[in-house]
Amino acid sequence: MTAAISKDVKDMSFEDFCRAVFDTTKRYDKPETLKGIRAISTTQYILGPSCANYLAELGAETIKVELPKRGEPMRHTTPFNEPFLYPLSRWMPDKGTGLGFFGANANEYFMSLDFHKPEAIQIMKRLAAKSDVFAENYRAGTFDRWGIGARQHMQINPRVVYQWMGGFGGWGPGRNRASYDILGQAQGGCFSITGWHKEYGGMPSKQTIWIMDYWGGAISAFNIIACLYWRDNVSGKGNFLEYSQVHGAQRHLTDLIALYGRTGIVAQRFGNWEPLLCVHGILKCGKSSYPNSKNPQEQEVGFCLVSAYKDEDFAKLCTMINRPDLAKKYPTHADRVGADAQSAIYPELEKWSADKTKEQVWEECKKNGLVSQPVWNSKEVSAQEHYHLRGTLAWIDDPTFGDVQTQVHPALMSETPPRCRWVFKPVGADNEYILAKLCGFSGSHIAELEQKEII
Amino acid sequence: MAEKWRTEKKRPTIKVLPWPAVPVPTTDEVYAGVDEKKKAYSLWIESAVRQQFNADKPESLDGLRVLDCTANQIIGHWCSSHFAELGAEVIMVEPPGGDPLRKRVPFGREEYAFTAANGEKCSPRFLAEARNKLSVTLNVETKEGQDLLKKIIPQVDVLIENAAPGHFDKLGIGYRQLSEINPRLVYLWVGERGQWGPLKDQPGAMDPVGQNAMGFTHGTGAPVAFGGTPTRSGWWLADQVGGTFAAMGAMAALFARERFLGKGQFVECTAAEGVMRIIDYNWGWHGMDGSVRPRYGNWDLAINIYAVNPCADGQIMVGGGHDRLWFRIWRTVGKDRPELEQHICEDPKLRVVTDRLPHYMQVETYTTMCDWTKDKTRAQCEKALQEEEVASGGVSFLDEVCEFPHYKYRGHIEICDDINYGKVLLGASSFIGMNTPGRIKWIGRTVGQDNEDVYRRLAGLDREKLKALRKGGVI
Amino acid sequence: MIFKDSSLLLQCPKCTTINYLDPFTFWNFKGKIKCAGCDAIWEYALENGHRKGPPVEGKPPHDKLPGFAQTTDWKPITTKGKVADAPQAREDFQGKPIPITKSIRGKAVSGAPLTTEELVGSIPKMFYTGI
Repeated sequence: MTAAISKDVKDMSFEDFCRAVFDTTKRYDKPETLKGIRAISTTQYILGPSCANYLAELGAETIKVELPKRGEPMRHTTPFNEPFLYPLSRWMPDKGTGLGFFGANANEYFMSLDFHKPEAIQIMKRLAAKSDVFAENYRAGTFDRWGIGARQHMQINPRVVYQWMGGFGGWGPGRNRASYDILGQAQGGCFSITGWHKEYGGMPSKQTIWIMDYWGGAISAFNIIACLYWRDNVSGKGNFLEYSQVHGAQRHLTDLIALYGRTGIVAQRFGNWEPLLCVHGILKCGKSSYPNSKNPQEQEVGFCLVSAYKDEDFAKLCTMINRPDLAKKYPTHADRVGADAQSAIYPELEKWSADKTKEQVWEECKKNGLVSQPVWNSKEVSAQEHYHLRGTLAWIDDPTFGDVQTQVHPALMSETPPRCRWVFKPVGADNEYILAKLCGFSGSHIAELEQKEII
Repeated sequence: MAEKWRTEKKRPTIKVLPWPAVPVPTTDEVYAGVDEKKKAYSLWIESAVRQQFNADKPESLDGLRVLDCTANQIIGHWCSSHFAELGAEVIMVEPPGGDPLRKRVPFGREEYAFTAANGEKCSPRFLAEARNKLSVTLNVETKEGQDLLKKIIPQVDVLIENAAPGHFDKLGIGYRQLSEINPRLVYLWVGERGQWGPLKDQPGAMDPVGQNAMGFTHGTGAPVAFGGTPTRSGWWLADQVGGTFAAMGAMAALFARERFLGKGQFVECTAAEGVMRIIDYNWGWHGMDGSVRPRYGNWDLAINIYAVNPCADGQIMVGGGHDRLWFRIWRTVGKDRPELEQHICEDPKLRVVTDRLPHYMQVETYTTMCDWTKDKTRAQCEKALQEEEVASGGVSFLDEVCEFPHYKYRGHIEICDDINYGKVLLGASSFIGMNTPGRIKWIGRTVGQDNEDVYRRLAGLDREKLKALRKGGVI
Repeated sequence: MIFKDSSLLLQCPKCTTINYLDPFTFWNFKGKIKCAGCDAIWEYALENGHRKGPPVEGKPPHDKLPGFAQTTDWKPITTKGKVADAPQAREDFQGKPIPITKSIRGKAVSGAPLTTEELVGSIPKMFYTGI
């Protein structure tokens, strides 16, 4: 089977070609990567849900199971306690879901189930028999005790890929510890290398995103797809996977661990500069881009990355800022990259940027062929046509909540593009649909379950 | 252009501890005194997933071949590491002379480089993502190089490249050209902002371009009120997050290829969009009421108590979003400082969970808490809070992380004894599992170490041909 | 004066207002702080979060404002100029659920509380297509 590339496609400019193959308006003309795969997600917070969510964005039918009525705790977090999307559920329409639920629950079907009731466990077993992936992040051993853990799953359905995810793992000295994302960051070493020595009382800084959670979900989703590949093309067998949130930190900092092991050096934070390269740092641009804005976020002064670490680029930079003395003093990269040299060079560069906006710095760099990138806030990013065109940021017409802006799966794919159908749904929105479809329950049986508060 | 190494003569010598400095606890020690029933499940997991059994187990991606043609950036190598850990044959295709990242060490200090058995030096940054991979050299700028690539492409499942937008296409080895030769090829481009679109990458763009371009930098660090500035992550976070999504996309493409599609496709994933995907609720929030997410230091906009704050010997993380934990935290504080517990718990403004979110309430909360933590070390805080089942942990530095008993026992960190580079300490594979766990087989290869093997195997080149290509600067 | 000996909670000797010295700005500090309750100036020093001694009255101008302040019976002081600014995401700040019915693009969004009558199943009537 040959890929038919027609002549007009061959003759297009590369830019046009990309716009054509990654055209977001054509997404629904193309199949989905994981079509036919079913995943059950009995997860809460971000680590587990995000893993199942990535599979849902790639086309798997993903069913999220939550406790009845109120759903999971992440629905009850929202920045500043201000924005909510209503209804939380059809039983509590006057309450909303907080935006903390965004980003880990798109495209999924929502079922409510109270695991503490034996009938619920029976329902879970029926779902388990029909699923390809099962993700849970309850305390290790809980599902085993309830009869729907990994060992039981492997009896019911040997083809299932069972993913357990949690804080510290189900085995080892720390196994009983509760965990959160920033605990993972703290205990994993992520804090120690971000931030400043002098600022902020000398405190290191966290990564402001729940990275241990979201990235942990991503690496696990990759593993799940690899296991499905192995199952369908090699072995016919499922798998049991165990991921602990704190592990991500060691994986991310693996080169610094190697450095420590060999030299005893404990890497320190270096602010907005780069230990490996100079010049490759974020400069303070003394002028605000929107000094008259009413939003305090916009009133702040600007920052811009300037990258000029190759010798010829550094020379260009020095000419651009009218400081030929710097090029003379630090002609080679080896001269520039030392810690003392960097501490001397950047203040000089910031003398130049002190009276400019970040856009002005960006323009100057572009004119001189230097790589640069202003530090944008979320309003400026939302305004970038680039991301909307590529479809990684999108306004969608959500079937429950209306006009919502959301992030979309980052991988662009020419034949089986991921897509975002909805951002999430209220608790138990699809109870009837799932129970009828996968368990064959009648309307009256479902009503009975609801009345008994099993769902 | 050859980079000079810096050798600073006058540096203090650091005594390097052997690893582990403190022995790894034994299974008996870990489960000492634990009830049989409770122990049973943990021991079952251990029997299923402990790394000591890895060598007997198959690999999920055995049989797949990946060409990593990326250079001078970590996103591509990070991405191909995922495939390498699960058993795919990953071949790093480096420019002659080697990937420039091999020469990038912190502050240019030569003593931070790892020396191979043949004397060649390599930075830990490159080496950390060279695990399980082979190395060949190839100059894709030459016609012979492009021909050689086209010759071996029918035997490749995934090709990853990060050249400037459209560059490989211009050289005749882009997706359009290679998919004609091998329609089953999954062609993956990785970069910072994109290979197309109004903001497509400038050649040579590297992280933190990705972090800046989507709001991460603006949102990290202390707020202006606390004297802070936008802060980049201390590592190439956008590359590493984007790289994982890139791997996921390529893996999904392979899965679809086998299941129903019958062919490969063009996949693109960038650092900026990878982090954009996971930056919580920025986009939804802005879309609803125009909010621009502010930096909030080590506190959280949506949850109180959920922060890292200073203590006597560093910093301590304390977490407890709901009521039950809130009162337990103050009960812990109250054991030493009853007046702090009383004043907080009787404050009518902090009665309900959601009342505790506004900034000034968080200042009240954490200032009060820190008047207690200032007198306690991280270990003391942890112990006191864990007694009340509150999640808490000290901010650890890398030497502490490397000695943390839990990580040692679970094999998050391991020593790989490599034929080229000797004993290297590494963050091990994240793929802990029962049937097909990930594993590290070797640390890395010197530049072009596998030229002869790979080109002979895949392209039938004999010694004479290889010598001619080397002479011509093609490999 | 229940916080007489506290480090980060500076209870003003004059008016007993509790000035909260947030742990990031003040962990290592030496200078003058203006009491949010009575504008008195206090010379104060902290090292690693511990006070070096009791506050000593000083003369303006101050170096820093407290991060927050309240009276002993919990009446908050958050006026601009008395305490440090709060980070804000917009011009206004409410700190409680805000009913939103239109996105910033002016299209309908379900950001406000509903009643059961306004739902069809789990979907707000305004978005239900019935198709």
